[in-house]
Amino acid sequence: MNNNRIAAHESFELHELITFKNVCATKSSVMAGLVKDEELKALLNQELNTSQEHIRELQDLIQLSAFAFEDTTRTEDALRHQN
Amino acid sequence: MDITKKSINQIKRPMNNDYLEIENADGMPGLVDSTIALDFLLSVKSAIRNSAMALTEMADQEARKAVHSLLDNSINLHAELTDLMIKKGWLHPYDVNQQFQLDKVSTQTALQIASLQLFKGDTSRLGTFATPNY
Repeated sequence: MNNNRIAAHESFELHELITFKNVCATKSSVMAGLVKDEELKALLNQELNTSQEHIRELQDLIQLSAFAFEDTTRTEDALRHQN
Repeated sequence: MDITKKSINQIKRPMNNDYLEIENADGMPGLVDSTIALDFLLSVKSAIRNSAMALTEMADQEARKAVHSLLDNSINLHAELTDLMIKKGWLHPYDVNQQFQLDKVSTQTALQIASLQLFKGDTSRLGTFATPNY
């Protein structure tokens, strides 16, 4: 198990960046629909595309974190309790 | 009348609740676009700060590369967006007085929008759908 690739402090920062980029991508996609100005719309769409790429990249990295290998049965249990 | 070309600081009339009336919606597209652009600029600024802070915590080479490219992209985007906003007259970095005038108009507009009654009456969705658990 290669769980020492991404350390704890890196994981936290990656997590922060992922949440931030998620909000950015969501907002860009919504705002692009509301904007009338073509140049601004193009810029928002460009940001949306690069954001998606970055999110995927960061997600792949955070999978290498020590925390990503923790017991996932707990979350499955929690989900089962909800239903 | 070309309403899309109207600059944001030309809008002086107080907001009216009857915003579907063409006369009251004068300059609205420019107002919306400039506000969204400003919000976008704030996001990009935050992205630069956040990724720069994150970069100082990176030890792994690949992670550093990823965050570095994010930072680079954000900086380039910031440059493009700033240029666009200056071109459109939504940002005046070289003319503080004009920027303050714009801020004043934006503040008034924001306060006027805040005092608009956008949602009339009850906005509760309860009862609209079948909600047996409530």
